[in-house]
Amino acid sequence: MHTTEYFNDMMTRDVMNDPHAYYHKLRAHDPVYWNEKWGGWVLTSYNDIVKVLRDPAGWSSQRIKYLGEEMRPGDEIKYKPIFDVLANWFIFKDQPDHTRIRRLLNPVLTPVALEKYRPRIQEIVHSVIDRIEAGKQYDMVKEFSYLIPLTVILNMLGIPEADKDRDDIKYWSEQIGVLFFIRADEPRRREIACEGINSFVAYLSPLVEERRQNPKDDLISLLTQAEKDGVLSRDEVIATVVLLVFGGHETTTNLINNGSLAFIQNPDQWELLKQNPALVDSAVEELLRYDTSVKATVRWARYDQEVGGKLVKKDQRLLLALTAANRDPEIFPNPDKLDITRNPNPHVAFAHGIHVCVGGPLARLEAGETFRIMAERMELPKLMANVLEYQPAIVSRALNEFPVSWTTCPIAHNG
Amino acid sequence: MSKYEIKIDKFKCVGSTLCVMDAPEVFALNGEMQSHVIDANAADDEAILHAAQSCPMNAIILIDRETGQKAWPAR
Ligand code: HEM
Ligand code: SF4
Repeated sequence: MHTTEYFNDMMTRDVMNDPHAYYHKLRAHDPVYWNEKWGGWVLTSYNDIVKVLRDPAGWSSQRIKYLGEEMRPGDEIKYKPIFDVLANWFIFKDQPDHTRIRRLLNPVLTPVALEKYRPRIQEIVHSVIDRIEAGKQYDMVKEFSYLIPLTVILNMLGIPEADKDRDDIKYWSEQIGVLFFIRADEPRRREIACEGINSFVAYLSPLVEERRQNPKDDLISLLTQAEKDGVLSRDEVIATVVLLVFGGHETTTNLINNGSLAFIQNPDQWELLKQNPALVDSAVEELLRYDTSVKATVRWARYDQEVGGKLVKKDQRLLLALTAANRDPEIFPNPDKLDITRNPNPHVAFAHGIHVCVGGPLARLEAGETFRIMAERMELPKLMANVLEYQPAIVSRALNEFPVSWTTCPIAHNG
Repeated sequence: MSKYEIKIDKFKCVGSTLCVMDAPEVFALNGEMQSHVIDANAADDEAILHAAQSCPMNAIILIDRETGQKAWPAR
């Protein structure tokens, strides 16, 4: 038997290192659990989570509005960047504002629209792999995975990809991430996020202004055109660029890391992929399910309503544990087994409903090309640590360090 | 009559409503908040293909009635 104290503390080292075991226990104990310490309900059953995600009329995503309500008088001025920028992220908007921005972006991020980026993505993956030497130790987190998604999203937006730009942007994104991803007890989390937002906006403003004058074939120009057409406000243009960079790389970076680790721990599945490269799309779906990068998202009740037999009051919040849904034994037979041929695989790694990840098709393309080319050119790396530690976060499933080494050089790539 | 037979993969549809917004005469959400076809002939072929391609999950499958071949998604 586990105690209330055990279930209420979602930030322990054990929960960080193995969220799956914790969520299995919580689901068995109470799939709609009131967590007094977190101050909300924690949902762990697939069917309950999907029901909430598909009902935007019942559940709000307006995180910044609720953040405002938690604050003290004067804080709104102190944390102005949060309200100017993050409140304009469409991930935190309800209908109809959400719909207006989502419909603008969706057409350029669909699977068919993204095909034109495939050759560039392949080039980027090859160039990252080309630098690997046999026998040397690498930290996948800092020297491998993030380079692919971050370079791709900057390329699509039309932001310079020079090392300096890329490193700065990565740093500011991490600062913003402190607000959402890192432990809620980091006392300076709002200040740190404001610093990141201010620096990023100062960097972007002249670039966006330039694109306003001289549009190109990139996503920033698409947004500035929408501003001219009266669809977006000036603040929404900048906010959407920040959101795409922020949402567009950490998550996919973690998918590449967590996926590589899953293969190291299940070498039979790596061999299966090497023998059958056509399985790569299905493998990516399974990696998204098995150890998903976004462990949870939050919704607020728009009115009193019942979920899984419990009465949730208006304005109470729900933590939807996507990680738990993805291993719910009621939906996924043998949920703790990595099976790259799993079919069907209706995971919720990108959520469901109107907020379903707009970057999902891009993440699938990037991860698909990464694992396909890795399987073609490389052996499975060796893990160079006995214990791996994860960042203390409720939302992101992110390794602190992921030291690996390859015994052979990548096979040369001609083309 | 439409060139396509339209199917929705219920394991893939997540209820984003994007197809409904694109072609409201053709698609609607059911009680499970998943897309279903209300009238496959209510829009022209191009609009139907466009709506299918706007689905982020590739959940809309189009079969060419004449050839019986899958016309979308490509793979
Ligand atoms: C493996 C990679 C990724 C995962 C696991 C992931 C996960 C998610 C999840 C769970 C949501 C829904 C959040 C909610 O409903 O509260 C979401 C939304 C979103 N994601 Fe991703 N994401 C990934 C990659 C990307 C990429 C590459 C981009 C950028 C192109 C991106 C941009 C966004 C945006 C803008 C939204 C808001 C969509 C909306 O509100 O309509 N994501 N993502
Ligand atoms: S666009 Fe796709 S996922 Fe969205 S409702 Fe239509 S079929 Fe379902």
